[in-house]
Amino acid sequence: MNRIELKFDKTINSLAGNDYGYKEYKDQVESKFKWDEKNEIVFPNNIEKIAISFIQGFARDIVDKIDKNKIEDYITIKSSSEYLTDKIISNMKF
Amino acid sequence: MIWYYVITICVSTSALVISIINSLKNNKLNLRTKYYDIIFKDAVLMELPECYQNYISVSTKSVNKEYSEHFEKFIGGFRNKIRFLEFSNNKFYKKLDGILIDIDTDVVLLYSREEQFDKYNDKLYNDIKRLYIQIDKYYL
Repeated sequence: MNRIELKFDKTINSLAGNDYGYKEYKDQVESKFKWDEKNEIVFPNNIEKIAISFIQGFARDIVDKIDKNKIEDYITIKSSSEYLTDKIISNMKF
Repeated sequence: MIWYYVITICVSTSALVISIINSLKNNKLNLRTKYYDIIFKDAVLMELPECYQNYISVSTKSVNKEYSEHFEKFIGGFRNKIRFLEFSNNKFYKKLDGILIDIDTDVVLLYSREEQFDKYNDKLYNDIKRLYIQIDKYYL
């Protein structure tokens, strides 16, 4: 499994904004993402909240390339809580 | 005499057409009312104000962090509920969905930026207000 560990300022505990999500995808994920295997995207534990707007920007290119229903074949998410992980996946698939 | 029959037929045909049009209008209105009752009634009359009240404390200028997940879940559920509109009125759907995403962003930002409570609370309040205005515009 290809592990992508995201890094954010340690003083931040929430992520919001479509453009910010897209920027973080471009900066931290795009070049490391492997389309021929499963990717584990790890959000650091200090991130407690993520807004739908961030997820939409973050996943924009991914959902352009793969079928929304197959997202879980390519990505697993690790985050500070089960709820947050569910929120990220369900909004990627929305 | 023949004119009398012609006029009678015209009047009765017009009355029939008008009554069919009115009946179709009423059916459409009834359907809208049904959709409103099923999708929006509880969400906008009860749940959303409750979420706001429980999350925000204006007197202490703070948020009830434990309640944020409930608020976010409500928004997620509401987004799912309105999805049928994507097919029946895409423009209205996109507007509502966009506002719900804005509300979710406000909830998340308030969670982490309590020091800017007034700014983000105003934003949340105004976004909720925008949602009501859009729904009222469509259903009233």
